[in-house]
Amino acid sequence: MIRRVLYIAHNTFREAVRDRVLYNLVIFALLMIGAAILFGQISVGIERIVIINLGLSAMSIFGALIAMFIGIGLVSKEIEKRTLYTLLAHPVRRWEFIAGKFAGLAGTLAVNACLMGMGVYAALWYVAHRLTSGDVSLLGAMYCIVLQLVIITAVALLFSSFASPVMAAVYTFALFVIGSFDQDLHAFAGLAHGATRWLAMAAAYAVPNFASLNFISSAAHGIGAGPKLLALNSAYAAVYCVTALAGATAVFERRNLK
Amino acid sequence: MSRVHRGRVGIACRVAIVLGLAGVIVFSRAAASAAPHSDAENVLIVSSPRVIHRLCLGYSGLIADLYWTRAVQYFGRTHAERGTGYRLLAPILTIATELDPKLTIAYEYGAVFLAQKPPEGAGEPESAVALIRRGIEQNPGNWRLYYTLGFIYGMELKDYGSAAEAFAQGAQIPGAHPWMRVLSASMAEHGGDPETAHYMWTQMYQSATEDMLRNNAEQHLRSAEAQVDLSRLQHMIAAYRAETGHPPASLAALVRPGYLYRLPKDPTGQYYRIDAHGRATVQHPGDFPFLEIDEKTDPVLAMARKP
Amino acid sequence: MSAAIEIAGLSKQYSVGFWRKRPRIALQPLHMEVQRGEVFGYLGHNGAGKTTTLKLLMGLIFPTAGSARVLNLDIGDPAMKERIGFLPEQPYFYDYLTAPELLTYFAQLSGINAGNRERRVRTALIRVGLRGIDRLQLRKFSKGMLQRVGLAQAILHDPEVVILDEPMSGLDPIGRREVRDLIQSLKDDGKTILFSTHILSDAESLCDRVAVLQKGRLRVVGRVSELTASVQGRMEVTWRDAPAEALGGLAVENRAGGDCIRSVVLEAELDAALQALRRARGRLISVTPIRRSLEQYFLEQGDTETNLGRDNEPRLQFQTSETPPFDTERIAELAK
Ligand SMILES: Nc1ncnc2c1ncn2[C@@H]1O[C@H](COP(=O)(O)OP(=O)(O)OP(=O)(O)O)[C@@H](O)[C@H]1O
Ligand SMILES: [Mg+2]
Repeated sequence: MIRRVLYIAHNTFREAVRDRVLYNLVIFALLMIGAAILFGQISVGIERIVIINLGLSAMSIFGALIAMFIGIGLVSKEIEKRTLYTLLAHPVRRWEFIAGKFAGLAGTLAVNACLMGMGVYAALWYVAHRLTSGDVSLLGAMYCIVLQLVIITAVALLFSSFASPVMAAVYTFALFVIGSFDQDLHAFAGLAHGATRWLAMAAAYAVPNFASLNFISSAAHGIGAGPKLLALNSAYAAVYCVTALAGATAVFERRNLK
Repeated sequence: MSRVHRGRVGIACRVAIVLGLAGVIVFSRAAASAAPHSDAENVLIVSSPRVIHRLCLGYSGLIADLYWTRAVQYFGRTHAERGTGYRLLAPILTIATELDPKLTIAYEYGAVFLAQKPPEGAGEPESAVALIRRGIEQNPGNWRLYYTLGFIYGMELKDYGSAAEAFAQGAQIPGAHPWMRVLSASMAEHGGDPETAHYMWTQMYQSATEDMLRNNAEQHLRSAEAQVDLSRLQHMIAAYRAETGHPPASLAALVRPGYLYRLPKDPTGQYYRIDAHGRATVQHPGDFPFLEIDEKTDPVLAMARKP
Repeated sequence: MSAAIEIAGLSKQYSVGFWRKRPRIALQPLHMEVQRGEVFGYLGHNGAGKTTTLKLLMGLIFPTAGSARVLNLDIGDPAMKERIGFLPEQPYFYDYLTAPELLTYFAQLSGINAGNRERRVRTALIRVGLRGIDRLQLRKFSKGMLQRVGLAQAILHDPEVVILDEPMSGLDPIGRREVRDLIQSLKDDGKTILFSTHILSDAESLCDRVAVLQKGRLRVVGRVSELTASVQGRMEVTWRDAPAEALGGLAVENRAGGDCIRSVVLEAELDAALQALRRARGRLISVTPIRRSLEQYFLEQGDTETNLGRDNEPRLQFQTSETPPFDTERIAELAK
């Protein structure tokens, strides 16, 4: 059972890698090298900040795009192109498929983020010729980016369990944008009254809270997220993913394949 | 077997969804409370509205609305915490109005709350005037902005000449309410009179389109009424003291000698009382945020100063 | 021992339309059995419901009503899938894998232990006639090559029951023969094969029994020989030395060639025709049953589907789905 999930995860990872997903790393590397050289030369005292902001933002944006498009591509495509037929003709349960896909995609994103993270550190080392203890706080911010990406993957899986690939991409992207403004959604809810308040509240909690997983700008100023916050955010991401995947499985389990 | 299996997975999923949603709420709240309280500050790392304008990629209207909501939220939260520093209010309002120069509510509301004295406002009437002037520049056909401008000149800056001028200019605009002229005249002639103030707040109360502005006006009116009552009570207390040689123990003491027919109530229906310094006051000062005691003309204080 | 596949009232109804959902019946309640060790052909026009049935059996879609068991296990039971192989129609696989990688992946999922995987994958590839493609990614495969990969994955884990949806489609003539040989060899290994097709010569030469599906309704089930035997119902009588009109109205068709006249008569009227010939002093040369192919039968089915719609007209001496389940003896009896 777990073994089959792992096989599916491994296959997903392999397919993503062969689909040239990791090519984004090239662009990323160019970006980092360019920024490092440029800011290393004109040194205006903010090269560290720029590298961190740029590096982590690129990590998050690339990651989010990959999570959305590969996540949806690999799942809806399996349904659309009917590669699932042969897969499910083997002793694979549908929830194992969902779980395996999720694990494989999350793994791909984690590896991708790891490599990017190393790129950021390399660029930092290049501009400052040393790493300070403050740079350790970057790890927390990077970890939270990975949490974000994992949540996006789960959401993408949920949507692709019932929507067409294009619509799944649209929904996921919308949720990503709304989720980035989740604190404002909470604020709206706080200002509203009666039924509107409850609806807005429900929406604010249902939407993934990407804003509170974003520590990019504070990391740039050397302020890390504390261990308690990291633990709580991890728990939040885990619970959110489980919920989304349970939803995906519930839908998928009773779906007639095209 | 298969149906059973499917059923079991279905039930497991549903249980996971319900527990998961509960968990999402729990951890979301926990993480929010553990996070440093810095959303508004972070939001303002980019402080030039023009830069933001460009960063918005054409969605500036939406972002402006967002900033406007943030301004309300920020003000509401600081106010609820009885905080005194509203230092971010002006920049947030600037960003919101710069992103969407036609967002007139932001000028109106923002100016009123920027101008008022802390803790009911930021106490920055100058930035309020600047904000509203920018609003007028962008929206020259909106007479309500002139009204707000005149209001701030008259009520906060006590610059009755400028106030009268603002009202007069606003009155020129087609569609302006007729009482703009009245306001202009009364500003010019009786700028500092309490009756003028009362009239202006009444107009504000009646014409405000926003709950927050209306509530604010109501608090002003209430405070003004209580102020008139208290001022009369102070005079009675001073007279009582002059007559009997000792201060009244309570307001009830003023009824017997005939100063009062009955115990007076404030606009919220509570009885007035006498505080530890022997002065008349309201039961719940929180209901009357704009109550001011003019120390110079207060008869009780004058008496206390005279041995 | 129970039958390999038992289908009891399986039916599928889709609802189509965005606002007003209308039902669209893909499969009427179906009762059918496939015996162990049998090669069973599943015939029907485009849109008859063949794929629907096979997908229902594989648990890819869920029935509106009814149930089915494969190897005495309920469909959808994952244990069943370890003992069953399936080739979907127009199979498609992961773009970026090679055929051996894909098969290894499926072997892992089927629980074939690591020691055997490699060998199984090799054998399967050879059996379907794929050689020299070890490094080619599947997206570069031709249609027929993909079909072969599909066949390979269906037989990879040595399943007892193999279900193939149009196994010959997309193959060249050599490929068709290879698949026929493959099916034959699976049968020789004692496997049960259920395959759908509308290429009737394939079914005719391979199948022990066939079922004919029409517009989601099972029309007929039977041995191929019985089916063709019964369907013909016509004889060709060849004679000479008598005028062509000798048979009068009995002849459905007359054709003169050289000295001989060949007439087609209905089987039931053969005796009368022979008597008439004798009276006319014609010389009988031969009487041969006309073996019409399933193809013709099939076409006839299509042509006369409105006729068939006139319920239960005993034009075909076969059981139809209205009287399930079928009974071979009775069919044989009727065929006589
Ligand atoms: N997802 C669906 N929604 C609605 N109707 C469907 C769906 N899938 C199949 N059908 C209908 O079910 C009927 C049977 O389709 P099926 O694919 O089983 O035919 P088939 O016998 O396999 O035909 P072919 O020989 O062309 O492969 C068709 O009328 C088809 O329109
Ligand atoms: Mg088909």
